[in-house]
Amino acid sequence: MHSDPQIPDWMERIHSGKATPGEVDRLRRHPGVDPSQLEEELRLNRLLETLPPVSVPSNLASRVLDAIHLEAQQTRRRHRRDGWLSWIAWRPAWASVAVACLALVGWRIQSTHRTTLARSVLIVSEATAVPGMEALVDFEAIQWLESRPEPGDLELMAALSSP
Amino acid sequence: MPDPTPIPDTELMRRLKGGGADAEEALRELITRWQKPVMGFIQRSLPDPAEAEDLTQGVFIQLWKASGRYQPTARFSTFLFTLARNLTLNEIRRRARHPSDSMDAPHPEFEDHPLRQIPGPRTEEPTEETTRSELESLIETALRDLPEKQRTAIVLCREGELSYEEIADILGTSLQATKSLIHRGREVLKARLKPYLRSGTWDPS
Repeated sequence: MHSDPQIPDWMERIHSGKATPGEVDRLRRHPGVDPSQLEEELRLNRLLETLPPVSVPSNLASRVLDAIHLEAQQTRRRHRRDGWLSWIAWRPAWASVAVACLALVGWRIQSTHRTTLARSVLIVSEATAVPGMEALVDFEAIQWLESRPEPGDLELMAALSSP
Repeated sequence: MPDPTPIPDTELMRRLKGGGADAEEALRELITRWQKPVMGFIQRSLPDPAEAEDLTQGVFIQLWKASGRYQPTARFSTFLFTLARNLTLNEIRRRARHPSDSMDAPHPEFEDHPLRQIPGPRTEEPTEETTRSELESLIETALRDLPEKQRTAIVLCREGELSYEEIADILGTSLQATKSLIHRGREVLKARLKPYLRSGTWDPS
């Protein structure tokens, strides 16, 4: 039926209701078109054209803009509320982080303190051994001698060394 | 004297996307231009005119919200009717979840077919008393009862005055598949409205 490459285009124009009377006439005369089928298509178009045009409310644009304004207002309010809510919602998290930081710092201080103490113990343990108890037998006499004024010692030394 | 050259839709969308003082005026202009085809498209899918009106309003609100996603390389009509189709489909699905008010519930076995079917074409001749409004109602019902893609393709072709390429973009199908959808949809309509298609039985003039 569609041997002429133009026929599908004309049929499409008929389907969309845009075919001109001239195009319809050409199709009617065209040997490749089934006249009964064409008439049926045209009658269906006429039926579809009887549908009343839709009635659009005159204030549709205003209604849309009002709805948009209202929605924008609600969105702003929601954002403000969400801002506070998110702050409140985040507070426990922030508190947990702060506690964790404090615990870390505390542990670090304690750890440093322990290290210092351990080092001190090591130094003490490595120091020269303390003399035994026998070395302290004449401790008081030595102390006493040390407390004596130096000139006396010198006099004694001089007396001992004189012939 | 007003400017005789209308601002292209893509330019209006650019203004809407940019926000500011121009955005509102751009949206108002787009609504004025497109409200009738959008409402026509929705009203052919939903039986309740008030609901169709609300949904049309919803489409333009959605257009405002989605303006950031619009790429000027895409045809505006494709973008707008894709939004309209998605909202209409959501509404039809919502109604299908509440069967008490559903007109377009999908068939449980054949997704492509609506659950509810209008009675087949009457075998008897339509009587003289068949009023114009009854006929309109029959045509509207026949259209609404088409499978969604066929109905959308036919309505966009006639009400939206879109090209087959634009319809294919909106439906996400190939050009050939779109042509086939329109052809099959019209065949179904012709079968359902057969008594009224016979020569001489009804004359709109």
